[in-house]
Amino acid sequence: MEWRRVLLGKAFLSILALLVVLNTFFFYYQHGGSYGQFGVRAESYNRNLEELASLSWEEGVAACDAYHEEVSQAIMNGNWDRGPDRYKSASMDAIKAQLEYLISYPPYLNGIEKDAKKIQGVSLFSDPNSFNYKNTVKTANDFARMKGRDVSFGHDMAVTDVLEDRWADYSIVLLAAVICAMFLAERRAGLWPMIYAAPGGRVKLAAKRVGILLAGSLIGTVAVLGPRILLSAWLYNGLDEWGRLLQSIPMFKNVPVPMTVGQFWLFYMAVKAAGTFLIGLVLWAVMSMVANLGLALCAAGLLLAAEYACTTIRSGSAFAILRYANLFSYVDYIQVFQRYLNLNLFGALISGSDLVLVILPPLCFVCAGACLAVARYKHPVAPANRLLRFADGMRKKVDPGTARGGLMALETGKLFIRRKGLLLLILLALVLTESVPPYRRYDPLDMYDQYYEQLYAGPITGETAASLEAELAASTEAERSSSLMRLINTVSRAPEGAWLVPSGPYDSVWSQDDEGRHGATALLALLFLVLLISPIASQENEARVKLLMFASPGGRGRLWRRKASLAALASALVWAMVYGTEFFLISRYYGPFTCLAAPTSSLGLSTICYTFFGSESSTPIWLTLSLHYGRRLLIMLSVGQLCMLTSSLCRRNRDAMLVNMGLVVIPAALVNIGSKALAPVSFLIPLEGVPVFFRSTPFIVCALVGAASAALSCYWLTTHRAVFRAAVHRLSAHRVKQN
Amino acid sequence: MELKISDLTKRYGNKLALKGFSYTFTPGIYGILGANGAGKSTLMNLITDNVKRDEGEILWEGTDILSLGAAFRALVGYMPQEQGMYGDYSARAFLRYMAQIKGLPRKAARGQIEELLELVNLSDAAHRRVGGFSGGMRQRVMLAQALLGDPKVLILDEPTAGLDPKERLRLRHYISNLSQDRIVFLSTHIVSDIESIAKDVLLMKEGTLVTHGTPETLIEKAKGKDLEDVYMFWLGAD
Repeated sequence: MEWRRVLLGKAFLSILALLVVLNTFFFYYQHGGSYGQFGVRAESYNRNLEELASLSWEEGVAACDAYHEEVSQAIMNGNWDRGPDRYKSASMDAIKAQLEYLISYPPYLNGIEKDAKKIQGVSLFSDPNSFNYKNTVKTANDFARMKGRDVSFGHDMAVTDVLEDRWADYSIVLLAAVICAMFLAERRAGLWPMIYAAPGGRVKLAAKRVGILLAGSLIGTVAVLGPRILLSAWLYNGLDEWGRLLQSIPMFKNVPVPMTVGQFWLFYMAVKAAGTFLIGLVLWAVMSMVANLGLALCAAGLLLAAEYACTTIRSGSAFAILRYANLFSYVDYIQVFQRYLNLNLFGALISGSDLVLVILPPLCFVCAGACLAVARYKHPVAPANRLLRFADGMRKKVDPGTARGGLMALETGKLFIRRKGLLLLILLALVLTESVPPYRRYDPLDMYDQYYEQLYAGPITGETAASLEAELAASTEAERSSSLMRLINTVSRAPEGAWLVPSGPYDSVWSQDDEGRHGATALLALLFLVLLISPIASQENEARVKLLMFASPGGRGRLWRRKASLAALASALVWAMVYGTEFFLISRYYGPFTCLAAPTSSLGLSTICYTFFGSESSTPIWLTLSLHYGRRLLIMLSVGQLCMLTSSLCRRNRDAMLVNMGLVVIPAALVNIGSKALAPVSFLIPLEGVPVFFRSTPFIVCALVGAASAALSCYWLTTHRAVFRAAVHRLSAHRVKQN
Repeated sequence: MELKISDLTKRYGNKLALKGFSYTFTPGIYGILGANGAGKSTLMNLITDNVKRDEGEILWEGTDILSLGAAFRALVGYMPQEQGMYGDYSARAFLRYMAQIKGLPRKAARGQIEELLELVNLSDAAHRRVGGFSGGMRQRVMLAQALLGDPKVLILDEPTAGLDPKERLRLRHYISNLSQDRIVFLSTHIVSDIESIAKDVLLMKEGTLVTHGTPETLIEKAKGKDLEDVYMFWLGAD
């Protein structure tokens, strides 16, 4: 029964399905190319690799060099064209690196052997009890197993791309966490005392759960990783290369255990499943030790944070062992596996990757035992622990002092503190620290263009052209001259009043970057806005205080006004964080936004920044820029009001979140990865702002949606409809009871 | 002070929840008795304007409460049957929030909240999260919020459910004292709660007012010993 409740439960199955679909889909999107051109990148890699496969490795390297020489010449001559194979250059780079590695691998193994012999002869390292001596000997012995093994040329990306990101790893851990949460669900439902009192409700149930966790870890690992491995093998023509030696792939250069690609995948999935099982056991043990659910989550969070902190310990440190004997070694196992590092364990040497494997079974055993012990000895009814008593005491002191704010302050506190909005904003800030500005179009002459644009920034006069001519006359480099000629050409056709503007940052703001950074930023903004605003009105329904609010004088119009203002405030906050960061990053990467008083049409003169400024607009750049970000704010405000409307219609915060995700985030995500069908109903395109900047219709539509949402939420929150619905619901529940 | 209800009717789909209810309320305690589904909660929701009425009118001092809107709701203290509240709020924080919703001035509200917490015997637990409260404690928080703002019309739906005998007695005394200058609606299944304090008892069945009168008159009419006999006499078939 417990097996069925957990592993066939709606929560586990739906999250499993969602994670499998997301992982597979995003993997396909990420490795297939950009903007609806799935397979382009993989096709380029396969085509170029297969062309070179018939050559010897040395000839292959030479062919790659020849290609790069050809590209350089084309750039010098100013007629470089990427052609139909946009990814050829990157593919050739990757293939060349592969070939060079294959050539260097046998000498690398010989080098280890030679170094070991050499170092043993040096008196400083000849003490057989010293770490250095043992390390050298062990390294040579370990890698001796690889001698005589044949490395081969093949589709490395079929393997490496699966291991490139950590999404799958964290997805599997998330599944284990979901299973643990389902084990603890009885506490939330108040069933713990009843289950604990039942004859099979302690050790027997816990033992069953250990089995369920193991099965869940295995299912999660196979379901999440399996499709990615197969998909990658299919995309990169690696399906018939399972028998290839793993060390043929550069990233496994330092793995001293001979194995084939197929064996590696089996081994990797087994370790991942066992590691996930261990993580699940640890989380479950820690959380079940603490009766209070909030504190239990904090304890689990603290443990994970401490473990993560240990992953930053340097390899040379005396505490390096904590980096390996760590839960995150199982999350990011590939980092451990591909790295060869011997650790000193009480005088004996053990490699980090071996240590991780050796401790796994005993740790699982100990943690499973701990879970059983907690299930047996932890009583559901007990006096509050010291921490809770302390928190109680603190609240007693703080509570009377927090009476100063008005309704708006209370509503703000409710959303940002009680509904954890502040944590979401902190999370957003953390995500934003990892963000990058929108890419500009790549141009090999970019560096020179930027340099001269900055040097001669300002209104274009006769002097500008003369100075550029003088620079050209003095230039001896072909690239520099080419860039100067382009600038002179630009200056010569500039209309009256135009400026030479350092276009780098502006191009980043308005470029349609290949990597879809504008879309990713917009998606991030929409996602956090939805997460933040979704509970704004549904929390009243969930807490069943709607009747009470509605019967109070300020519970209708006044409360709605505060909530609408709060939704606007939250929208503006997310907008400021996301786009403030974008603005800051652009100016940091591509230089400051200068020449703000120049007419916007000046940007159209730039050789780099020509995408949207073919117009004759005399509006100053600062106003165009303000309009651009102002329009984004308008979209965010509209989305905020829409989220509030749906929130007011939902009975639970979770429902509101799901509905808003379906309405706002999912269409935006699909549009971001190339779906054109959903573009008209997605907020992503106007929020990106780039292709529609000069068209006002999308913005007007968004503003209307926002206004209509605000009006409807006002109607819904201030009239009888919501309460009527609640009353009908109560009546039907009552009828069911009577029946 | 008068609250007059005439021909009040409410339907939920095909079900007639309240059928032509008419009554005039003046200061005092009104006990409302009836089986589940008799229309007690519907009547209270109509007075608080939580449910849209189909027919009839509710007049406060001669003016329809719908025209008065928030001005009438400012005079109402409502304690619903459902103990809905924010579990992560402390009792004090919840009362403070409700005081803001009711539009009470902050300073006055602060003093009143402490008084009410004292009254419902929750001063020592006021800083604790209501999510961890027992049913009786939550009931007392709900009562305290209904009393915020010194309402002229107090609507109490099952106020003593879940309270221990001592608390019930305490509450009964308090409500009895309140009735001097306000209209108190008290819906309950515990008939002894209203027997000694109610000015008038209304017996409802299937959305209609079956009978009403002082407890003494009703007991006499039913030839019983107490209100339980009255209940069984009029509504016993339920």
